[in-house]
Amino acid sequence: MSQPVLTMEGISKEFPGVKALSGVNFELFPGEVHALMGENGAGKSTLMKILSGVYAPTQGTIRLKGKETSFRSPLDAQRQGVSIIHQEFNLFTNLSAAENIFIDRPEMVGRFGRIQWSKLYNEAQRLVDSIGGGEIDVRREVRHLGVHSQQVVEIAKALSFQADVLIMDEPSAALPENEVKKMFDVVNRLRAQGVAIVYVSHRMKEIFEIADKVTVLRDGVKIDTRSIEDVTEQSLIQMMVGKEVHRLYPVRDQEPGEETVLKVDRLSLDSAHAVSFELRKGEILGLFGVPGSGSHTVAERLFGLKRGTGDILINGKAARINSPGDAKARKIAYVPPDRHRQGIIKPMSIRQNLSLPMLPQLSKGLVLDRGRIRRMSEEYMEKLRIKAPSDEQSVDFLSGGNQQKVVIGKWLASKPEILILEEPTRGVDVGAKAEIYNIIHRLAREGLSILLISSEMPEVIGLSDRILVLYKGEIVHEFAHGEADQEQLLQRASHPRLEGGIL
Amino acid sequence: MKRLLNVHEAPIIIFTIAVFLLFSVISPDFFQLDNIKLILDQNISMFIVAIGMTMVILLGGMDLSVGSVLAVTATSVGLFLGQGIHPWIAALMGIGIGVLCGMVNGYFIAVRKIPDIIVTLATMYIFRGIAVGISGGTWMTNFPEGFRFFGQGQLLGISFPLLIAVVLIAVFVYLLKFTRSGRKIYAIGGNGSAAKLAGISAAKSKFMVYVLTGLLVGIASVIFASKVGSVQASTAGNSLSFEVMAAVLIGGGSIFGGVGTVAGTMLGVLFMGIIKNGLIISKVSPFWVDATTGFLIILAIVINTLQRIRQNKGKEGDLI
Repeated sequence: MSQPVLTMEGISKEFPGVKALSGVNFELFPGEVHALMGENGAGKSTLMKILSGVYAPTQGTIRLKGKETSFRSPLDAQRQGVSIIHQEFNLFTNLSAAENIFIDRPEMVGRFGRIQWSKLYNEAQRLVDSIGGGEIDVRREVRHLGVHSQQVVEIAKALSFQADVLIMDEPSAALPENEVKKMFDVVNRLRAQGVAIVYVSHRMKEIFEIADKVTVLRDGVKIDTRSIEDVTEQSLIQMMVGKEVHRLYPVRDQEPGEETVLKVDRLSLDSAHAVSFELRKGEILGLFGVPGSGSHTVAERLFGLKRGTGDILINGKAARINSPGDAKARKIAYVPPDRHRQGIIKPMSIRQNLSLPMLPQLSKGLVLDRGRIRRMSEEYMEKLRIKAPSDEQSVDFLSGGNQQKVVIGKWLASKPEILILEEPTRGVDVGAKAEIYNIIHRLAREGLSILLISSEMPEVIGLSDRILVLYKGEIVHEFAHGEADQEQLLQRASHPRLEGGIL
Repeated sequence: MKRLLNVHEAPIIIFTIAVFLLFSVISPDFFQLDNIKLILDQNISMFIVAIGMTMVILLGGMDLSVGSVLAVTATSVGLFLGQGIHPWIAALMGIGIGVLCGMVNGYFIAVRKIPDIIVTLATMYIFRGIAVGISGGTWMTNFPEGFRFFGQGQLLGISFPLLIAVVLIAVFVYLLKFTRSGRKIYAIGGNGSAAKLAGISAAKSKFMVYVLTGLLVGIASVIFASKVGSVQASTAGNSLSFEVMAAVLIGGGSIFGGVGTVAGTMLGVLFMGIIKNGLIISKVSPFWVDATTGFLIILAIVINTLQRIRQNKGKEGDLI
């Protein structure tokens, strides 16, 4: 066995009042893809930040290629050969790919401070080509590139520092499902070139596809490092949460009702495409499509965020929905995909967030009815098991899972008949996921009709009574309960014309 | 004690008290009832205008035009008085002009969705220009005896303008804290997209806030004209916009919106008033008053920021 390129020994990190990591050992070998897993708050980010030079450890040593070292800053770590690619790309979208790759680098500057453009472009193209990004023109501005190509630029940027170690933080999060394969190709090339890759992801399926080894952290302590052949999805979850999780998805013990609550007829998504479907009482209807398929637009149309043609019938009556206010009046609720940008209002308390869509009902005239607001908020804190010392605490202090529960809770308080959930568990840890799935099931059992739009296939399969597959603005397939598996679903969503073909 | 320190306005309260004590030690003339009355009295217009600016900044906006609105309203009132119109009618008409100015700002910002900084930068020049134009560039003086009441009169032994300011502060504290409209303003400023999804119309609230700001500036300008006894269109309220914005920020408001209170802003105005008064009483050269004020503003805002960082320390998300 070769020598490890990186060794971390006894790494601890303390913040005032919190011990984020204690005594973590971590070894990384050249040419391996090493997955780092753990629930939110387990210490993954802290470990990554220490590794990439953002934080200095309180205790412990780092050895790079056998020599003890320390990273004074992210730039220092990069110069020593450790680069990180963040979940959100750090690109100047108004500059060319080549400029992004070699931003602020003395070796690209000639006499009198003149930038050596031809050297810059050639070097950049060579780097991009070496990881299979040959179709990218490095002279083009980054904003014209697709998400996958932008990621390639990020990786090229990291490699331009002769990276021995590359940390990838949730690299698939920003990618459409059908581009994840391309990203894996890039990772495989890097592996073949002997780069050591730390791969951080919540997505089980990817880990099993790409990783050689997996290290699990929990509560700031390393639980174990194992070879990927020695673990199963079940055992990984168990290592992460520390207790046996029997099922992530609850058993559906009730059939949806017969009556149609929502009927959508030729609802336009853009000038050329329209969809028709029905949602029954107490049903969980999954809507799956890769980004760009129009699934997000369906939600926007139903909630009045986007206008178009076509009919929406609610309980058999035609409804005009031109604004979120209209949708609210028709008892439609919408949990949006991006909780930070569209869901929570950070400076406000949990109670204030929960009461927001219901302000008219929770007021006497123009004046807020504080007693009712308090009772309502306490009721939903309890119902959704939102974990916080008090509902007067700012939502900013909550974990991702609890923030998401607040977003769901504020819409439940409006007593909707139709609930549109878009990416209800994005960026939420496994424990909170299971809780949110239970909540979704309970709501359906209580008679709420749910439209579940998600890009996580296991979630759509595990929760839905029926699944509609959307491809380029058209519903191309319907799976009945228990019919779909991930392979078929992805196949329908990306190559609907290939009947039973291979993927 | 710990709970007290976690009050949103804690830094500005402590800082104001510290500055107050400092000046009391430096100059025996500072801590006198008459001087404190003077500080309040001199800043009445600022208190009132700052209420409006608090709402504007809570929405994540800004209003550069309030000084010019003050000029155009005060000038108009002066003209009305010159025409022999009854002081009360003239005052009401002036306030109406303030509301009109607010509607102009509100229309372009809320309905036409032009960025507030551009709209109010333009209206800052427009309103000031109109004020200078209608006054013909001359001083307005010789207001009738009856008009002095608004700025200098007394009601039940209390200064009338102070009474107005206190009533307005109470009304707007209530509005922001206990009514739906207030909650909407915080929601829009805190996260516009989330507020929209909750069915809250940003346009309505924004329009309302700019109109209310116009109304408040209108009231302030009547008091200002009456107190000073003269109006010069080209200089009245010259630096008002920036001073008032500074007061909101000193009082804990966030320039990004969603954070701030009327109470905090009022302390911010008081803080600035104390500094100006104290510096003069302490015989600091008047040439250095502006620089010192600016320095203290930065200091106050740094303290506010530190407080916010301290409060966020216990947060898990950013640390782990």
